[in-house]
Amino acid sequence: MSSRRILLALSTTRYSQALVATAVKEAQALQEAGHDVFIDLLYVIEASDLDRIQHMMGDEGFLGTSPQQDVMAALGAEHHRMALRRIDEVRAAAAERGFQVELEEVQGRFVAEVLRRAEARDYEVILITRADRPFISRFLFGSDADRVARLVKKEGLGRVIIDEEDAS
Amino acid sequence: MKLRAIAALVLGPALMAGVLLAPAPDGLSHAGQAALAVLSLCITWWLLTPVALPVTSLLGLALLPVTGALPAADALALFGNQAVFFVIGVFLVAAVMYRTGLSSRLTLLFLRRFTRGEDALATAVLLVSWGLCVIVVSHAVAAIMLPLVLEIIRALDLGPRSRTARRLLLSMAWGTVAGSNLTLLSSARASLALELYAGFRVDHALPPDPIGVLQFSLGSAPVSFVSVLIAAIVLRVAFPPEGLDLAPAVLTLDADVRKLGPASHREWMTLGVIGAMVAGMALAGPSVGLGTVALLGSVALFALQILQWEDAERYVNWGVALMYGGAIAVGGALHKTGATTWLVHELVPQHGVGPLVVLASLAVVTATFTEFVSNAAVIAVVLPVALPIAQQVGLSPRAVTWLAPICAGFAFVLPTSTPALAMVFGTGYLRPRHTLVGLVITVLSLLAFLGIVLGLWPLIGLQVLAPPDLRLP
Repeated sequence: MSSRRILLALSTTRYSQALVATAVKEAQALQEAGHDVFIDLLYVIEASDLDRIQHMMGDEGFLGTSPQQDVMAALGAEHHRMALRRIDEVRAAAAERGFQVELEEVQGRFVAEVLRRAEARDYEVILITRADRPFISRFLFGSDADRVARLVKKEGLGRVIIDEEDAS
Repeated sequence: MKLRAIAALVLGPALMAGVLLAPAPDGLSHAGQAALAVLSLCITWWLLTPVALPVTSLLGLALLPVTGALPAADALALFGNQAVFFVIGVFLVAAVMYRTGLSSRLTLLFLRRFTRGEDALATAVLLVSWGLCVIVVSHAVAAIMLPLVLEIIRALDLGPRSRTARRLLLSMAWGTVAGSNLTLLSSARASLALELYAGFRVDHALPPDPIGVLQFSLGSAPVSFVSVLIAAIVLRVAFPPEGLDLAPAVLTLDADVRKLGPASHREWMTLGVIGAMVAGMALAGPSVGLGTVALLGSVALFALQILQWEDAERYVNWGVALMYGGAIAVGGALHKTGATTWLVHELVPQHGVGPLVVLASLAVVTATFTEFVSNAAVIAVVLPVALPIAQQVGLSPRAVTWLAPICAGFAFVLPTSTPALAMVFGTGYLRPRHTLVGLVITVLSLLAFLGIVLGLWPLIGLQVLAPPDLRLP
């Protein structure tokens, strides 16, 4: 039996339960086709958001390095807790159907981390969520999810499924 | 380097060169034209921030003599003003409250009393974030409060879609935003406004009427109170309780209180020195200057070993002194050279513009501006122009000195507006649509502000319209 991999990429600002359900459905289809299926869960803690907050605290709030570090530590701990919650949710959904889940929690830029991971392994499907942003911002500055899809397609790294983030 | 930064680095000097090299218009001196040229660069860089805000201020200060706006000695003398030293004192007070743990103790003891339900807890977070701003600068209050609020959220094991988590975080952020208008110690921008007004008053031969600590709060605190009340109501409506059991949060708060132990000698001394500082500002501030009192109080913190110099280095970004000193020098140069008066004569119609329309417009423009840039930069950009506009249309420049920092404090909407909102949006609990709730608070706060300006201010002796003899001919 050959093995097939699915990459499910989530981040601090990107998550949708529908996408997790889609990942499980895709995995089920591959399993029914006679493959061993692995779901690789990549959780990206978006470093640029944390950098921007630290920058604002120093340059606009004029707070010193100690308060900045305290806030960064608190935010870092919260993001890690959130990552664990997401990971548990995905694991529970996958375990019901007997898929194996491998996980990686990293701090960095979403686009770069997804591409790094996609290049490292041969993926059948890459599932990502579009961050919840106002239309005007997406229109003016583009979408990271679209950027990932474009680059993945260009490099021939797999099929990409993009979902909107839960609006709740 | 980002495209925006590159564009600003090119655009700022290009604008300055354009203004400097343009044919001299009638009624504007060469020095005035040079001051406007420096201002055009500073505005571009303060708004687009290709470099840190203090760097732009320093550049403005250096360019004043280079362009011929002011002799070097006069330009540098503008830097050494009361506001800079007052702001140093404000930030040292925040540092000592943070460093000694006194602010955390006060917060925990207060929150522990309001754990009956989600409404009580969220309102307590809002009120303690607001109330601490009486003596601690609002950005520092946000840094003190965020870890505590996240600890409560963790204890309750709230998920990313939890209404209660969102309400607690926004209560913290909006409490500090509303609280930034409480006193002169709540934010540094108000002292910047006061110093710009002091310079304007001297240059335009207006009668002396210094604004003291209590006097400022008399005008600003009612606005702050109404804002926090509006925030409490809007938060309750937008994020109703989920019916959570708060017992885990109570246990966490109790554990934190136990960990702090009894109040230390150092904490009591901190309270004493800050109390004496505030009393000194109220009683002696008008005669010896708020900056002088703040300096003496700051020295007392070090002399009594409550604060070490290393603490001051770790808890305060000293760029704040450079930012404010430079901004005041640029604003002062505009008044001294007559540049702003010329600009206002050219831009504002002599007749047909009602003072109250201008007042409302200034309030809306300032509140809009503050959503996108640092509120200190808003004051540095808006007030040097707003003061002569006020005089031209018959508004009291003194009232505008309250208006600008108060409206620059209505930063309830975007995460770009203030570090507190950036922090809470950075937790991952809030979505872009939640900015709309902040917009509701801003609009209601602006309406309440105009009501207070027209209804309450005259009753406390703060006249909105300039007396006829002080209006421009």
